[in-house]
Amino acid sequence: MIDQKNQDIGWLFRWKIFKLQGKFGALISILPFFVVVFCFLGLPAIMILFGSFLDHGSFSLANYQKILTSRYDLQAFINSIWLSVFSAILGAVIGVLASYAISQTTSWIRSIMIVITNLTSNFAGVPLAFAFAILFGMNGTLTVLLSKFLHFNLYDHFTLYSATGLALVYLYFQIPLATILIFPSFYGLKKEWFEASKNLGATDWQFWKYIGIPVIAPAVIASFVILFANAFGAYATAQALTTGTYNLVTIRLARSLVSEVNPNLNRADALAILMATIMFSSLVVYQKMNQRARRWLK
Amino acid sequence: MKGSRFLIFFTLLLITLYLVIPIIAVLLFSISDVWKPGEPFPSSYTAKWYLDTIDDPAVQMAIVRSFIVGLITVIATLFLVTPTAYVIRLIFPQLESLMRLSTLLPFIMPGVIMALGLIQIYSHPPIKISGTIILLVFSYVSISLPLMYYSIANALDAIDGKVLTEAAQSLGATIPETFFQVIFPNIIPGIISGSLLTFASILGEFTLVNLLVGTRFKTLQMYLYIAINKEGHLTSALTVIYFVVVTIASVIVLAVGRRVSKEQVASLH
Repeated sequence: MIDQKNQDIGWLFRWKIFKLQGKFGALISILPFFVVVFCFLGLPAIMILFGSFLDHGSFSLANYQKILTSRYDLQAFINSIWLSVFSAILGAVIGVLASYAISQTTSWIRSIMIVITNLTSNFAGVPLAFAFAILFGMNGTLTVLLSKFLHFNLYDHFTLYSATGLALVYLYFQIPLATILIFPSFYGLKKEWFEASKNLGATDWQFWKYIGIPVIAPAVIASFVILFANAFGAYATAQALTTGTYNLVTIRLARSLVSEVNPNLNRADALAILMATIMFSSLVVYQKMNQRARRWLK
Repeated sequence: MKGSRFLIFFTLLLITLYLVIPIIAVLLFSISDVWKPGEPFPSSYTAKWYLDTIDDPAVQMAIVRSFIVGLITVIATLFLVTPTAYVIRLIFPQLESLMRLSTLLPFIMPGVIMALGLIQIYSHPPIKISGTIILLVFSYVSISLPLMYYSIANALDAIDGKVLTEAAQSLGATIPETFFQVIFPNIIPGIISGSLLTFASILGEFTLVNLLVGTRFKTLQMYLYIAINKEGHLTSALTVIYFVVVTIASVIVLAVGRRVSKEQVASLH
C-alpha cells in the first residue's frame, strides 16, 4: 500500500518537474526564431523608420518633404499605383470569371484548372519577362505573326517596355493568384440558397443582387487588395523587362541602393516608409475583408 | 445560377491560353533549330540548346549555387520554425500575436525595402556581412518564415496536435519526447510541402540576390537576368529547366496536400 502511494507521488513529482523543465526548454527553443526575426526583419524596419527622419544627422522631416515635392518621386508613386490598380482590377475581374466558370464545370476540368493556376503562379519575375519578350518583343513571335498575317503593326500602338506592356505582364501573375484566392468563395455559395430563392420567386438577377454578390464581394475585395500589394511590391519582373528604365517606386528604391556612388539612403528610407505604409494599409483592409469572407465558408 | 455551357468553356479556354502560351513559346524556342521569322512554328527541332546549356560550366555553377542556397535556407528555416510552431500553437498560445507580427513583416516590407534596411545595418561594424552570402541566406530564411510557419501550423491543426500532446503528457511524456516521438512523425507531410514551397520560392528569388550580392554570386535567376538579352535559345532552355524543377516541387506539394486533406476527411467519418 505504502509502496504504491510512493510510486504515485514519485510519478506526480517527476511529471511536474519535467513539465516545468520542458516549458523552460520550450521557451529557449523558440528563442533563435525570434532572434532571427529581430535581426533581419525587425531591426531593418526600425533602422529605416529612424533613417527616414534623419537629415545630415539631425531629426527632420526633410526627406519626406523632398519626396512630396519631387516630380520624379511622385511620378514613381503614380506609375506604381496605376500599374497596381489596373492589373489588380483586371486580375480580380478575370479571377471572378474564372472562379465562376470553374465552379460550373465538371470535376476533371476543375482539377485541370487548379493544376494550371498552381503551376503558372510559379512563373514570375525574370523568366516571365523573358517569355513575354519572346512573344511580344520588337521581333517577338506574336508581333511578327500579327504583322505578317493580319498586317497589323503592333508596335505602332504598343511597346512591351511601357506601362501597358508591364500591365500585360503583371496580369499574367495576377490571374492565377486571383483565381486561387476567389475560387473558395464560390464554394461558399450554396446550391440550396439558389433553389430556395427560386422557390420564393426570385429571378436570377435578384439572386445575384441580394445573395450571390454580397457573399462573394468580401473575398473579391480581399483578393483585389492582395493583388494590389503584390503588384506594388513587385520588382523583379519590371527590372528584368525594362532594365530599370520605367519609373516605379520599387525600381527607384533599388536604384538608390545600387547605382549612386555616395547614396543618400535617408531619402530612400522615407520612400520605403511611404511604400510600407501602403503595404500595411492593404494588409489591414485585407484582414477585415477576409474575416467577412470566411463567415460563409464554414 | 447556371451560365451558358459554351460561355463557361470559352472563358476557361481564353484564360488557359493566356497562361499557357508564354510557357509554350519558351518551350518551342528552346527546342527550335530553324525558326523563320513569321512562321508560327519552327521548321526543325533540336536538343542542342539543352546540351549546350547543361555543358556550360557557368550554368552548372549557377544551378549548384541556387540549389545550395535553397537547401541551406530550407534546413535553417525548418530548424527555426518547427519547434517554434509547435511551442506557440500548443504551449504558449499567448505568443501567437507576436508570431503574427513576425510573419506579417515580410509582407509589409518586400525585397527592395528589406535590402535597404539590411545594407544600412550590416555594412559596418559590429557585424559587417553586407555583400556576403551569409547575409543573403539570413534574408532568405527571414522571408521564408511565414510560408514554413503556416505550412507546419496547418499540419499541427490538421492532426489535432492539442489532443495528441495532452494524451502524450498524461502518459508521462516530456515536452521534447512528445515533440520528437508523437508530433514530429505526424506533421511530416506539412514539413515536406513547406520545404518544397520554400525551396521553389528561393529558386525563383531575384530581388534580394540582385540587391544584396549582385553579380558576384550568380544564382540561376541572376544568370537568367544577365542572359536575357544574349543567346535566346540557351536562355529559354535554362528557363524550361527551371520551370520543370519548380513544377515537380509544386506537383509534389499538390499531391501531399491532397493526401493530407483526404486523411483528414477519413478521420472525420
